[in-house]
Amino acid sequence: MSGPPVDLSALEPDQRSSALSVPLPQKHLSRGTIVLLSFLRVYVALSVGVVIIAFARALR
Amino acid sequence: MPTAVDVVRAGDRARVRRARDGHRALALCLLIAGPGILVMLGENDGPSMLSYATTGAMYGVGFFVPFIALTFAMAFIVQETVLRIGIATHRGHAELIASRFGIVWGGFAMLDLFIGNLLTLVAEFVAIAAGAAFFGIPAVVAVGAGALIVVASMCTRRYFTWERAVMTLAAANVLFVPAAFFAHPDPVAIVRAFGTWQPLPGGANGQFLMLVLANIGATVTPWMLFFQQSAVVDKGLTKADLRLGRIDTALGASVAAIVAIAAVIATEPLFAHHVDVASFAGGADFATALRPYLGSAGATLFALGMIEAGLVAAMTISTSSAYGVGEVLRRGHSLNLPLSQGRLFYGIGIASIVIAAAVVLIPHAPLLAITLAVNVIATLLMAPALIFVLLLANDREIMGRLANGWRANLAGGTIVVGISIVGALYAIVLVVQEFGGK
Repeated sequence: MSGPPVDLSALEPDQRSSALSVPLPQKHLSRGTIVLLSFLRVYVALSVGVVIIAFARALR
Repeated sequence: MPTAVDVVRAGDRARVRRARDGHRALALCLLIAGPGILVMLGENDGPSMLSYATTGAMYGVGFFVPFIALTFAMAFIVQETVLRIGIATHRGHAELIASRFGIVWGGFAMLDLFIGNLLTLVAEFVAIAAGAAFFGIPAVVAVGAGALIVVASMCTRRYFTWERAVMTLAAANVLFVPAAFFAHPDPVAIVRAFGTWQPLPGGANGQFLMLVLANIGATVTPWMLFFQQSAVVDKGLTKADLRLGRIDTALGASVAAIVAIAAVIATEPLFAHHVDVASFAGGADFATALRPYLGSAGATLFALGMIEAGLVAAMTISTSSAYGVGEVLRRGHSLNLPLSQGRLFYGIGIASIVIAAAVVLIPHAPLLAITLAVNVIATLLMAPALIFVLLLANDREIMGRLANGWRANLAGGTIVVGISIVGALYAIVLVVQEFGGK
């Protein structure tokens, strides 16, 4: 079964599903960004602990 | 081979192109408007409106009126950045974090978004139930009807239709404005507040700090970043739409700020009459307490506004969860998807709604603990979320000429530092209160 022709000209090439199905490459991280992300990991780990403690105490 | 999403999106873009080529400015504005207005009015949600109501009842018209306007200016700067990222990359926020910084951070973004959103959705249904209680509607009816409306909106299978439906409903956010007029505000006091940031009854004490932090938390939250970028991508906005996209975001911020300030003004009579609002748990309490001062009409508008605030936020927040999970897992993630091709996308959105609604209806559910967790999660995790926004906005490989310049970095960096400090402070104060209060 074939439908009417589809006009995709209104879409930019990188808006089409075929282009979006290709993942972007991982970014090369500078030393500063790596240090920042390392700090963020510690921050997030501490934050999760704070959330769990706050929630547990609020439950009581 | 074009997909169903390509076909629908191309049709929407063709209408934009015709409006632009035909120099039909109003039609073009109406076609582009959406993500910015929705994200800002979506953030005027149940808990946020309660924060503004509490602010008005405890401090009246004074410092907080210009302060709220300032917080929405900050929200505009942050949201304009994610608008630019979405237009430059045509990819969602969670997808970009996963692909550019690795699956660990992508997975964290997805889980953070999903869990934070799920808890926030519980708070939205609490607001819906509280607003409906003012009219004597049982919680099970209000929450059930609310969940059905949200699920039905998700099943339109077309982004544009969904967006228009939610925008129509979001227009009811302005109900707080006529409610404010029923409070017979003094225009001179409002103008003076903007000019002097006064009065500030009681000075800058601990309670004041908590409300400052709560008002910031009510304006900029992580789900907004993910939602607007995904919505911009799903709508198919391009570089040619950037100017109107900015206007859309600025308009949303302006209207949301006016509504937030209106909520402060509407509850000002409670401050003037020294009504203790410390024990107020929801919108129904405020609406009931306001009846003697605003009259039945004003109180009714306030209660309806609370229902709308919860409902619109439930629509935008559940959709942001669906976008985020679909983006990180690289599965279909668009409101233009047919139901059969978007089982995970629609499933996540619908499941989060059903779970949140069910939790609210569980007798003796720990709703206060959940509300506390929502605040702590949102404020603590805003810092990493904003840092990723800045990292992506400075990623010239993907941003090209839309990358942040020094002015945008200065403005964005200042906001990141400021919001991170007060957010962490807010979370610390909440936890200290929990420990110290027992």
